[in-house]
Amino acid sequence: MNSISATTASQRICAAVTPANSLSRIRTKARALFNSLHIRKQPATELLTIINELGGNILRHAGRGEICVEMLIQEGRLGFRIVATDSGPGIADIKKASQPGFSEDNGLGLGLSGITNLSDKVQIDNLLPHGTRVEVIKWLSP
Amino acid sequence: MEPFSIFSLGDILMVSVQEEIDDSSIERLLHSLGNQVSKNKAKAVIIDMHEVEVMDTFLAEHIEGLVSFLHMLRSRVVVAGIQVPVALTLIDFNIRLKNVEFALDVEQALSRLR
Repeated sequence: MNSISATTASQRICAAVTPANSLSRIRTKARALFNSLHIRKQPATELLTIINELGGNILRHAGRGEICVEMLIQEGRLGFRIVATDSGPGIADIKKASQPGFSEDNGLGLGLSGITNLSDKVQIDNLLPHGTRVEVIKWLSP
Repeated sequence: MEPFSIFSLGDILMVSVQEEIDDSSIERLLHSLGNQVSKNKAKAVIIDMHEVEVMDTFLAEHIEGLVSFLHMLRSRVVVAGIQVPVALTLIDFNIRLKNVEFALDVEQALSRLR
């Protein structure tokens, strides 16, 4: 069985996403993490785009929330788990929300399907009594 | 400080966009650009994106809106300096930025417009 082991606490960062700091805190922390691990520019851009997209969803639909980024190692492979949580209204139809073209605010509607294209796993859960948790895992190619 | 700056190069305006641009600053950019395009009778606007390292669907949506707005004001628009990793990520997101003219950098955009 494949086990995914998270590493030490120094390789996990979290930051609040709020209207005041927007996405700057999480972006700065994530950039520093990727730089310290010498992640190449293309995967780093993809990871930062996923973070931005999740953060943009939080700001638009819930107002505030939190994003955590954690380094993973599995069978010598390096990856990242990105978890975005908020206590907003949740997503009415999770399956529909993951399809290209779906948007609750007349946007491009490519966000969640784009994240799916760029990652290996996307898990969306509505939290009780309200809120959303989106977990994304992306493995880097060697 | 605003996450954008506007320079006038004769009848061409250049807008430098930083990735921190958000919903409220894009509104201010639209107002500012609208005024300057009519005041300077600008024939073209270059949107310089070379400082942007992350372009998500929200920013892409803003850029598309900005380009449509400037087309309505009869300005030609060239988006310059999109970095290669950003362009590749846009393709993964299926973002095509239709009806947008691109240049590799500001120099190429200027030589095309002059």
